[in-house]
Amino acid sequence: MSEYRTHLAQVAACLNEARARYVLFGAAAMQLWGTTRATRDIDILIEASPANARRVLAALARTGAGLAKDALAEEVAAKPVTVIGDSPRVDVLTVAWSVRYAEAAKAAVTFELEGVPIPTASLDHLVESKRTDRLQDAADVQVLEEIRRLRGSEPG
Amino acid sequence: MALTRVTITIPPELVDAADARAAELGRSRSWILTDALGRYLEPGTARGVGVREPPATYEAGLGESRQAQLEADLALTPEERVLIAEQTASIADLRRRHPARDQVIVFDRYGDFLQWRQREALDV
Repeated sequence: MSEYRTHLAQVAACLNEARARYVLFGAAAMQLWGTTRATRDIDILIEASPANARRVLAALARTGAGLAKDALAEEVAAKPVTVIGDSPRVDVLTVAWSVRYAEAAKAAVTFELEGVPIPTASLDHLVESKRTDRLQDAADVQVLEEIRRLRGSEPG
Repeated sequence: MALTRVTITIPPELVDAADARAAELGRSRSWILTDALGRYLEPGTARGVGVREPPATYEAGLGESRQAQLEADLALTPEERVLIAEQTASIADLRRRHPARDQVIVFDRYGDFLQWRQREALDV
């Protein structure tokens, strides 16, 4: 039984404990910024090195995704996306559409959820990551632009 | 032609449009509405065919209801938002066709991942 009320806090706590380098993206990041849009997955953009992928996999194995410990860190670091687990499902990205970890980490904003600090993509990078041709992403961009207009780009 | 008086309730903008057309043609409002209805019910014409709907108006931005939802969401704390969103997702999970899986799926291309995710979203 997790000590956290939310999957997001549970996953972030494990990643932080493992000293994984990651930035939260996707709808979970949008929730921290200002929406209640539901999602089944937690998207994290990671530093694409085998050492970091190893830390990420070790952390996710502790969230109930037992197979994570059997995954190859080298492969996770080399591929654009690895989906791990199901409840919670964590989408491990080495690129968030066009955004890479180094630039995302520089601009990341830290939100705190249930006492767990979560490095979260900036609104600019979230928008950039959603410049795909998916309709859901286009709708998300509208919401993100409106969040920026209504609240600015600082956490709170 | 014998006439029958009827009372109908229609949107005011339709009345305005009918009146404008009537003025343009030098006819009465009743004549315009009778003519429009006559064309609509013309024998051999499928119901509705030939009657053009006014073009839908698309607003730029979120629209009224989504805007109101976003403003309500922004009034919550980040923690409250995440809790609500996860509760909603857990309700959707109850309708899934399969139980939670322990899985690792590696994608060679980002586009493949987006397609997969779209299919997964329909798995309710």
